[in-house]
Amino acid sequence: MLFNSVSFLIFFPVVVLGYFAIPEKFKNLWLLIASYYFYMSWQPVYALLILFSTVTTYYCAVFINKAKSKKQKKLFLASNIVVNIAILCYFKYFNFIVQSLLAVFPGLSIAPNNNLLAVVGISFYTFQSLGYSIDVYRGDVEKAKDFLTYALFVSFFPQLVAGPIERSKNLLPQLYKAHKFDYNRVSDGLVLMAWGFFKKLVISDGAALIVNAVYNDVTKFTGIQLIMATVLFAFQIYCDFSGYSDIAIGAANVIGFKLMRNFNHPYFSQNVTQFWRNWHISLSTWFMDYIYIPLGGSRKGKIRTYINLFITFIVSGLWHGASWNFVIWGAMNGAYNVIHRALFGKKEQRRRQRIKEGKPVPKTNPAVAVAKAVGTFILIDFTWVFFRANTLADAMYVFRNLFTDFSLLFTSGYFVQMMEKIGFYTNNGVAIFWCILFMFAVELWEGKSTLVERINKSKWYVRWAFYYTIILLIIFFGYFGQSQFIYFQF
Amino acid sequence: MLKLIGRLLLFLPIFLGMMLVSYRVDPSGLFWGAGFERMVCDYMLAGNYVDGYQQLDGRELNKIYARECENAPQVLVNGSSRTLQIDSSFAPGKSFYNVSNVGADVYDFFNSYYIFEKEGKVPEIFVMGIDPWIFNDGEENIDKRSDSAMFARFLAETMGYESPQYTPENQMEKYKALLDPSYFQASVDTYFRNKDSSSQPEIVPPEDIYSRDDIIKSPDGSIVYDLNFRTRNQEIADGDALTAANNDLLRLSDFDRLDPYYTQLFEDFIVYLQSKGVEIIFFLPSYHHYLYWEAQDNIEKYHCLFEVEDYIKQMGAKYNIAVYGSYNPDAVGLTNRDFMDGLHMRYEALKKVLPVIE
Repeated sequence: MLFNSVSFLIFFPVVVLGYFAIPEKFKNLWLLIASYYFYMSWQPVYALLILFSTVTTYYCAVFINKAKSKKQKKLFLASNIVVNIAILCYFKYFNFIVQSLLAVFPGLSIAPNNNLLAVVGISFYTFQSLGYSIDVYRGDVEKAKDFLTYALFVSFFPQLVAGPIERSKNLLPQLYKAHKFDYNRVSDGLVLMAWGFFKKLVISDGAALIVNAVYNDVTKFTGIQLIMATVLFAFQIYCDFSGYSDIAIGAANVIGFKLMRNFNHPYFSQNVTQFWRNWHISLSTWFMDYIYIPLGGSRKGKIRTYINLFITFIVSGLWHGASWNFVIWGAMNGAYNVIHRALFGKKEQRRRQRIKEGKPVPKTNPAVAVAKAVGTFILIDFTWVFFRANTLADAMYVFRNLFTDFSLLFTSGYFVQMMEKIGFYTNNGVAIFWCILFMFAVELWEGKSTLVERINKSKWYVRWAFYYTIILLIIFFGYFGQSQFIYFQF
Repeated sequence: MLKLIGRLLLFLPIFLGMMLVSYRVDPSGLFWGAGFERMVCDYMLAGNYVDGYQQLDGRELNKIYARECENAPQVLVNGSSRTLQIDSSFAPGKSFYNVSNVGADVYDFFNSYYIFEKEGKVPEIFVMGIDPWIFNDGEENIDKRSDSAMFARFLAETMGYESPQYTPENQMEKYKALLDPSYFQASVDTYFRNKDSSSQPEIVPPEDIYSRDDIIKSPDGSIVYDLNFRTRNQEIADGDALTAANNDLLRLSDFDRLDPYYTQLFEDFIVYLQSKGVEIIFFLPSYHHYLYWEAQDNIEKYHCLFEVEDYIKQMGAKYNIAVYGSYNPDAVGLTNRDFMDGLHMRYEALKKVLPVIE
């Protein structure tokens, strides 16, 4: 079930009303049933996969908890990791691995399995499960008190299919608490959901029409058209994914749960390292905690730090998708981060240390800050080419033709003509442009607080003007074709 | 909870406004009929001649007209473009509407009556302009503009036939559109587009209707063909007829037999109409000589053309129905000069063949 569907418009109020109407002891069961129903509206049979992963991880954690020796604990943890990764590999990477092997060894007697369907959200719930078992192993968290609670932790519908990837430390304790109806919390959640819908329905889905027109047939386009599509994709993916996260966090908030923040104004980042601290925070910190640090993090010298960083980004690329495009995307980001760390690592460390100690940090000149943010955006946007292109060949075509025909831009009417050809005007490109500016204005207005905090601090008429603006923008410019969220495929 | 509901109600004006705009503008014509056709209909009901025929969806206009006209027309004429020129002067002193459609097929033939009947507006006299192809089965004879769902409803609801395609009209379904933001967006687009006067129909003063180079829709549903077409050189008209004769005759090739389903339906329809007290008149619009001769010369290929005429005459005799006209131009004393092309008689020729309806 998509958040942007009529079904969800009915499902969500029913779940919320039911949740607050039934006795406390049945609430988790109610949410569990709702969550499985939510997931089964896509592929009922694949709910068995979640169930299998849930059972395996739950009992592994029980055994880890009961194990007397470190060796036994390790064994149970390893077996859980193997089972979960095996499921993930089979359903997500099997065909990629086979095709890659066949490309190198054409004589091999293996074939891709064309019957394998993409399992919605498999990377998300697998990582959440793995995180839990590792946390129990490390003793960072108590094992779940009962199976039902743990099953809900894995399948909690707001974040089941596209995150945020919750940590057991954050979500599990909330599942033991009573959640009463609270007007302020519910209205905060609804505001965040509306903001998420605005980003998804107006900006992301609008931009997608133009981006798809270009990227689904790249060889028909050149220069400014490719640039426009690539820039728009940066906003499409941001608004798609952060929009989903806002809806998920908002929906959880309505019910009484606080999920972790997943995006923190990433396109205002001053460098690529900062960008990755602000983009898909739940995944970045997951990789930090469960891949980068176990690999040695920054504790084993400069070179190992760079290697660890690079490996972490390659794995992140693979996590996103089973194709070489994603591997290259991860490698590019890894390279950016390694280079940034090599050039500015110490300076950055000093700055963070000062922040940590509460000492004043020299303010950046606003013009320089804007220049840095734009520079970071351009670097990141180059990587999005690999993320969006349908094939490696398409991505290479985009790079080869990105800066062609620039002299023609000074020809009268050329720009408008080029934009017409990619459907910029017919697909509300101008409105999308203004909505992107509006979104950035709101993000600037938020400052260091969250949107909800900022709104709650505002005067009533500002709040209501904001609510009305959002709803009117959605009604006037939203796309209601129920397009999928990009991150569902991961 | 009540506080939340109270606050949510403050958003109600937005949604009510959205629904109101969608309802008033109604871009798909769910509530009022399509915008352009609705406007044309309003003009016609006010007694005006209207330009803009090329943009007009005649089927949609007829549906709106059937709904909006105050009373049932006393005389209703159906058929194709071959009968579209029949106007109210054929039935002086009676209220009149020509419901013929360009490219009319068998669905249109029956639907054109059904749209009036379902509004409770049954005519006193029904002039059936009968093209032979309405008895020719096969998908290729169905015009893509005709309404198959409505035909299924006609079969089921009027004739009591079983129709697998039948789905009752769900009045509630259309109200869902009011809650659909996409419908609202289309309404806004339509509203601004309609403000552009170039896309609006134009009222034509009665004194100008014969001097225009555009097809004019008359308030009685008939049309006045454009000046060029009406006054075209006879050599050009005959040339057109010759070209048409040298190709397969329209919807008459692959016409091996009169479809028994449609002949049965036709006969049942006659009985049904007569049971409701409707007087029926059959009218067979003539073909240009070149086409008719072509059919005579290729009797094996076009035998059904003659069989349809015989069948209609038999039905006329059986049910005591007047039959006017003939597919054979000689039979009704027409010459080549009575045609504007292979299929369309001149207005004056229609006057020769179809008498005044008393």
